[in-house]
Amino acid sequence: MSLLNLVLRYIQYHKLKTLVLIASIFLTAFLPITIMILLGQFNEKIISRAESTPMVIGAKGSGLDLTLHALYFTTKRPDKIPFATAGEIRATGWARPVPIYSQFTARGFPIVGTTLDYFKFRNLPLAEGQWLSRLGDCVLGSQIARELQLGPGDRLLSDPDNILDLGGQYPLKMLVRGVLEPTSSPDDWAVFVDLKTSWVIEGLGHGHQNLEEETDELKVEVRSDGTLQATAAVLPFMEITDSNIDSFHFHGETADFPVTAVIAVAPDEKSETLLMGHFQATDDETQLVQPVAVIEELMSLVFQVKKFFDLNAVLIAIATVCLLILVLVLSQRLRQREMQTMFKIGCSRGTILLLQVSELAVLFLFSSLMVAIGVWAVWLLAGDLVQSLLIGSHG
Amino acid sequence: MAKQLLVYCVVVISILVSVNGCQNGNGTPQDNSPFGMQTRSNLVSTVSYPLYYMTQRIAGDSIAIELIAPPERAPDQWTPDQKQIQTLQESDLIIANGPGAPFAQWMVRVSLPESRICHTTDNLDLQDFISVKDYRVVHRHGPEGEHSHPFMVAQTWLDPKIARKQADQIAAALESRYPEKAAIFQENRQGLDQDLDRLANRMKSIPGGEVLTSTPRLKFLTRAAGLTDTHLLWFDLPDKKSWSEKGEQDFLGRAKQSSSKSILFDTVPPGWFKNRLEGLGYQTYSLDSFSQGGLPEGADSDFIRIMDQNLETLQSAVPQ
Repeated sequence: MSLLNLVLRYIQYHKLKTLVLIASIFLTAFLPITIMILLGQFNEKIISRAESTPMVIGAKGSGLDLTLHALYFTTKRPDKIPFATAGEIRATGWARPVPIYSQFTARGFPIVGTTLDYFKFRNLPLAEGQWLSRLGDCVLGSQIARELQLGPGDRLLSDPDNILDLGGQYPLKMLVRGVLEPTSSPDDWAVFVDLKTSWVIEGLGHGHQNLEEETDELKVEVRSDGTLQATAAVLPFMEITDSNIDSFHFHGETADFPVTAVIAVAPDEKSETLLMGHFQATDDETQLVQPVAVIEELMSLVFQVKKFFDLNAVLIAIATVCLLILVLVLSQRLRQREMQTMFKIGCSRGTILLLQVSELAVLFLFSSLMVAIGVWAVWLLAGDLVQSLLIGSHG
Repeated sequence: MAKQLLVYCVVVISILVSVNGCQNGNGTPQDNSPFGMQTRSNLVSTVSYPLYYMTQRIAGDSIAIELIAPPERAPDQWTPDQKQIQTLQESDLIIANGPGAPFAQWMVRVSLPESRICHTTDNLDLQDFISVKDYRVVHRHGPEGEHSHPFMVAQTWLDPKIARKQADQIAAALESRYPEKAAIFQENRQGLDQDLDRLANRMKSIPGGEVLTSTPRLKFLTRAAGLTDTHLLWFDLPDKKSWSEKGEQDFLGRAKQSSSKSILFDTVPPGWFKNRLEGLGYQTYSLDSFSQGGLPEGADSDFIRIMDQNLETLQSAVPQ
């Protein structure tokens, strides 16, 4: 019987002891490695998203909230700014504005009102269907399409603003025009609509029947000055179709309509600096943030906290090693008679030592294998896990 | 058992390596350029005939110019079809009026690449724009309560000086998009400028005074000609069935605010209406405000020729 066979037989016989030792080694190594991977992924994802978003303009307030909203469409929405800000950025000639208005949800997922430039800016390819064409269209992120089982041609209803407010905004039944390719980014978890569609959901634009042709007195009153007044019985259309799209219109200047953030894409560093100076010097209502700087500040704080975790992991590792030594010493005493028997039947002291070292080596091998499998699983799941942490729980 | 363990380890490690390898191979390709997907189609779309004409004069044959408009109706109550929307989305530039004089109202109902829209009225001064109060429908819904629709007159091109400013914007947008063709644009531009300057000078020969119009759409023309304009109707001409005595009284009431007996239409009025007005002592004149979306009829008809005809008609409508 070979030495390895003897070792394996021993391990098989002392299952509980073996399992406890393997679990101790596994947990001691697995937990810090997992934290390291998750944090690394978190850092990589959040930094890469921030790096691809050079500047964000939004209402004065928390720069972190504004950044996270513009990057991840988080539900903690910053104050609104007028759409004219996008025009102001364009007028400077230093950057291209990509407005974002994320105020509503559909089945719990954020509705992101933007322009077609967003898809080009993020380089988002279309998996199926078409791009947004007109009011009422939406393009779904890949994960939403998969989760809700929706595809081009299907309809998706926006969530009412407040279900207890009967006089609030009407939900809009949107037409799914296309589905994006998976990108492992927050764009997978967003419902994209044209900025104007989000304003329709807000109630700033609507379509209704032609009042001049309406004869129902419950719907139209004729005033003494000859003007027509629509009553509350005239309801805006809840779905935009071929037959009613021509009646959709907006009230007021679109320049005054709200957006929650504007991404500014400058062609070079000089333009970026000029635009930053422009907003610092001229505007009291808005702020310009550089997501990379904001996120790096956040991550430096996170890594400060991580140092405590690292110290904790080192202490746990030391405790585990002490525990292992204790177990081995006690085990050695318990196996005193077994060792004497082996010596008597002809085993040298070296062979006995090798046998014990081999037992330990097999334990470490098993533990390492389990750690490797665990780490591999974490590595595979880390991207989605971190993504869901960043965009909030949607699933 | 040792052999089994060894085989197991090898299998597990192989799976780990192969799955990771596959994952790397299937990663989404990254393009870090901010507008990486932007292509050049050498196609420019326009949303009204005058803008189409001016763009074509400036660009010549160097670029394909498309007119996205309904062929025989005003574009107010119209939305392009899917194919036309695709053309717009593929265009390098979309030449439009702008928010202060929104001609193609359908643009708010369509998803367009904002960064490629050229608003030709962006360089106009505030006093260049004309706003007209809505006098008909008042309704109530949405957050702002009772409201009506004020009307910004969109036919800016009827004033040759404003048309020239719009041509400036078009030329600048074309030069920015196609810098290698800037010389061609500048050369072509001279001919258009001359034509617009000639129209502007011709405007000066029209004596000032009062005039009645059927619609606010002609206000840029009348203002450029130095005329005081009272509009009698809104967008649509009345049909015979719905024309009531009260409607006629209101109409005449508004007409009496002016001393003029000339009513300018931006289309040919229906025969019964023309006869009725002439019976009441009014002379009717038809002009073209280019409010219908399509190209003008007739092979030799174009924006400048139609504007010349407009000015001739205007001269005959205003007493010398």
